[in-house]
Amino acid sequence: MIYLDYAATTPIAPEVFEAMLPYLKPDGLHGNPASTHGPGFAARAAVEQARAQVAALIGAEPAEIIWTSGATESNNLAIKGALEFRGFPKAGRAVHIVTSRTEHKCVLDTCRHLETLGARVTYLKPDERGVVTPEAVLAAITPDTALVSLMWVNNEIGAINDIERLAPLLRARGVMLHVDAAQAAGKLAIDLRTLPVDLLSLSAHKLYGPKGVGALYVRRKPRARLSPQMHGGGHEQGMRSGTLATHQVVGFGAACALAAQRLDADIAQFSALRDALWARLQTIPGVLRNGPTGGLVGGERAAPHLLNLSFPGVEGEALRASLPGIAVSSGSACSSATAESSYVLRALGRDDETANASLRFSFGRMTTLADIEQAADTVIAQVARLRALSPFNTVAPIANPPDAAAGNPYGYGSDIWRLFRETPNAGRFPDGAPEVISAEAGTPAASSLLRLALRLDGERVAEARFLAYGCPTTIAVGAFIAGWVQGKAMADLTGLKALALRSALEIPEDRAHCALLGEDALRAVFARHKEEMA
Amino acid sequence: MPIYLDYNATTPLDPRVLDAMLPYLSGPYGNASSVHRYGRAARDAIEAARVQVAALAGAEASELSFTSGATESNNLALKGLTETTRPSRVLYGATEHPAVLEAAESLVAHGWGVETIAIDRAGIVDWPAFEAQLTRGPLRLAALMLANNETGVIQDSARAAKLVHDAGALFHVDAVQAGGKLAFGFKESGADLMSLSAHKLYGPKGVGALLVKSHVELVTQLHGGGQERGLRGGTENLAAIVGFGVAAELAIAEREQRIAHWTVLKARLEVGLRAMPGITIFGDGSPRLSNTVQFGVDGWEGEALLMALDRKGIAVSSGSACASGTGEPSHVLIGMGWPRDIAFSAIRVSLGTMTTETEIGRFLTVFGDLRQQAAAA
Repeated sequence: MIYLDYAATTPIAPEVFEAMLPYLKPDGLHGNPASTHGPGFAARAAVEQARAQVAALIGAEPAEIIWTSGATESNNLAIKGALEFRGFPKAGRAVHIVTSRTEHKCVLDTCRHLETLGARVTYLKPDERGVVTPEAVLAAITPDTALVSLMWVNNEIGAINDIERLAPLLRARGVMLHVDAAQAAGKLAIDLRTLPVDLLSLSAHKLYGPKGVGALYVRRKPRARLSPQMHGGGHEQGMRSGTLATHQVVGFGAACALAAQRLDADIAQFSALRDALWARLQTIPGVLRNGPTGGLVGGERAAPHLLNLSFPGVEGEALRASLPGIAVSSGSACSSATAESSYVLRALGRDDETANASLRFSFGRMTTLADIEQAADTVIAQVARLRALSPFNTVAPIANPPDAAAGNPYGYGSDIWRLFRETPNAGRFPDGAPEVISAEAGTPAASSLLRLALRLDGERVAEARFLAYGCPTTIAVGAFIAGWVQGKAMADLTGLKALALRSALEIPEDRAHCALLGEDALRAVFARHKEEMA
Repeated sequence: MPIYLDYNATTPLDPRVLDAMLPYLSGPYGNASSVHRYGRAARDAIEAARVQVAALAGAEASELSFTSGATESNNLALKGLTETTRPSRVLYGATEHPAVLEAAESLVAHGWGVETIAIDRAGIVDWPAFEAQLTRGPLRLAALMLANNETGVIQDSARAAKLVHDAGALFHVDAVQAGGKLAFGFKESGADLMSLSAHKLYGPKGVGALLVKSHVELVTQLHGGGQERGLRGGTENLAAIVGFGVAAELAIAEREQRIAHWTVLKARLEVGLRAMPGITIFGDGSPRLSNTVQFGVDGWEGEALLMALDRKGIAVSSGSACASGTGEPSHVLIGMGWPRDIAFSAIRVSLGTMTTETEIGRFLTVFGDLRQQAAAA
């Protein structure tokens, strides 16, 4: 398995793990950092050392670092806390937030929640690269604008916003700036001594630290003011209560120290991997790169650690299912649970289908050039296979490319998986072949199209072929039907109903429409036959 | 080796819990929201832990959401519930943990009437006053902890739940200190919402849970990502959740054995304390956790005593770790109606699975010596 999903989460670096371990053992370092006795003081000292390490990575003072349970909490605290401190929600007082359509889901969800309480939110559309320019932000500012919340590096397409130029412009206008830097820390240099950002969110598990811990940078001079969102105990200068998880905080500190030390090497390694993968994958006809196309040089603004590509002409789920040996994402992990296509790619102007047929590759310290080469070969072969299966294409179907790790990681039913992988009876009959009828069901807009072609021997089906564009279940239904009809009388064709298809292939409820598509295709070819007879 | 007698503040990890967590800390595990193999392995581990932790309170896995800890659980319960309706009243016990107390008080700014439930000297709800209070206007929520973190006094949740429900309101129970030290059921407690924590029962810090009855609607307090049935956004803290699961499983399996162990040690400790002059055991006579003894020392200042004990290598607390170093007397004891000077003199000793007879003996000796030195000076 090749892991190319470092933007979703990174493994814990061995150095970080070693730093955490003493705080997980019952050797006197297990105290509650809020306790005023020996074990408590020892834990507190570790927490403060970690605070200094996190601060150092971004050029902050330790006292400006507030621990949280992760970037989601940091973003919630920054946005809700900043507004609440200004008295929001208060009747008759307008409050305006400027953010972008391509922010992480937790920023967007927080803003939508604030809208329900009466805030006005401007969601800026990024340019075609996915970048929100300082000019676009400034143009949206009104006298009521309380906060600008803009991510530094986009988590899906790696577009880098020009925070360096934006921050002083907002400071000059007296507008508070929050930056979600979860994907930026460790991927580019951050120095808040010279950059007037007011609030900045960080996450540990995106930079080889543990899950379950993050931080919010809260500027002291001039002081950024927040109302706490978690009450009780008054930890973290009253801004965030709750017992600190010493081992996690220590791990975050160690991860930041390591990231600071390795920053240049990491950037060089990640960009080399990204460029190597793109060099290979751009040979795929029609492939689209989502987001900026170069490094920071020459005005391009692409993050080093990720590459987002769309593969028009293949269906997204089938594409991902075709790559069981590669852990990639089709966007943010947080939205991949829900089946909707990426809102980030749609904000760039990609249609639903293209957005759905996209993959986000993200690289880390453990990624090798050999991983990249193997992944690229697999992607190239599988895109070619799916395109050849599609009714939109005229090339002949190709044999299932070998795949070292052809497990069934997404948990499809075993028959569906086998038929999807092996696609028996895929293809078409030669043009002008006699006694051949064909028909289609479905629409590309619904991401599914099934074409059946039958060669008849009188009233019997001598041979059948199918082509399909759609999810693995759609493709499996096509393969199953093409096998089932062989030798059947034409009159029997409509006897195979969706219900029977579902039970034969164990098609789950949420894929019932794939079985219906099969039934429709059989009806269509039967109707075509009747027309031709008439 | 210093003697740690502050297990109610936090417990060390059980080595078996650490063993279960290690693969998730050192191995290649994914984001539980990712659909690939790594993500699915993470998801499976979380769902297994959900069953284990729910069992701690005899609850259904579907009733449980993981959080970053009990503070978040209590905040989510109180704020999430009050956001669903127009402001009316919220009641909480005078001896609640600061996470409940401060979350409740934060509701005042949103137009809620927030009142405390009177607790008597023994640490028990003043039932007649509570019953009268319930009828005094519309009510959304009442919160009473199951076992107090300082005194260890155990509240009759089922009785309170019935009264609260009769008043048409919902009932929240902070069961953080009861977890693993007391057999209880989510259903039997009558609670609609219940908070749990891992690091009080030999699990890791940084993870907790909130149990929510299926009929109760909450507004999320962490927006984004839609994890935990939409109740709590954020990438799940995989290793900690796995650790919580194993800690809960061990707590259930070993509960009787642990309680028996503590009961003996606690009796020994209390016999020793009672033999000294000027000692008041708080909540004496009330049902209490078998591992917790909080006492006042006539004419002493608890913080100074605590520091003196710390110098002798004994870690105890004056009350809640969260209030340590604030210079304020325990709000729990004040809430029970104890005078400030007695509240100031409080020392809490809380026992753990690793506590030995020798440690209790050593504590009594050191403590006795300190008192004698003070008397001689």
